[in-house]
Amino acid sequence: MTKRTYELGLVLDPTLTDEEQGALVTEYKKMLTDAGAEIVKEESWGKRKLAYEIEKVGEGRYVILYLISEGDAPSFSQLETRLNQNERVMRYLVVRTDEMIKRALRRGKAHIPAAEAVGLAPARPEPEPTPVAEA
Amino acid sequence: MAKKVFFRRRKVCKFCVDGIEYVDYKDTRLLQQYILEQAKILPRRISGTCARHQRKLTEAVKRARHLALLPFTQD
Repeated sequence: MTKRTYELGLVLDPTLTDEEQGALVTEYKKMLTDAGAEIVKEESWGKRKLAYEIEKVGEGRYVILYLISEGDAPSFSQLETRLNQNERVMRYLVVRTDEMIKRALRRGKAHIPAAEAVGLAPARPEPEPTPVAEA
Repeated sequence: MAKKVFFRRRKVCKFCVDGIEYVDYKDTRLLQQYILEQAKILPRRISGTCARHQRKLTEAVKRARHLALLPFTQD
């Protein structure tokens, strides 16, 4: 059984409302679950300025989904077709991360938020509160 | 004639020093430091990044560009 982890990055039409974004993301999440992946974390960055204009649009709504799959590799082809067809999806990116993360955990010492998100690294404990100097 | 002596600071790979092995495409704050004004990727002969880390950096920058987190060009 191989455990694989992925990230799906989405850049959506900035004119969507929060509800519309939620509905759209829910639809894709359903497709991911059907494809055999489990969504373990969802990040919404809200509206963000793009580094360059895409079809004359200067902003986008960013959503990042963190995925895990056990066993057979999930098939993203159906999802990708849908993402390509939907004009409200300006960009998307699927990245497989487990191998990169494991290698990085062996060698590096820096904290990897992407590894925590998919449960490959323990969540970092809350930083110690700075002791208040006694008067 | 006095001979000019240059002291060039030895360049070290920041990724090696900081132990950054996972270069995340979402970490634009980090990636931005390796982008020239023209938005080109800073060559390692200038940044001193080691070959292994430069490869990871390049990959991350290209992913970030795809999602419009970083520019491809800047006039």
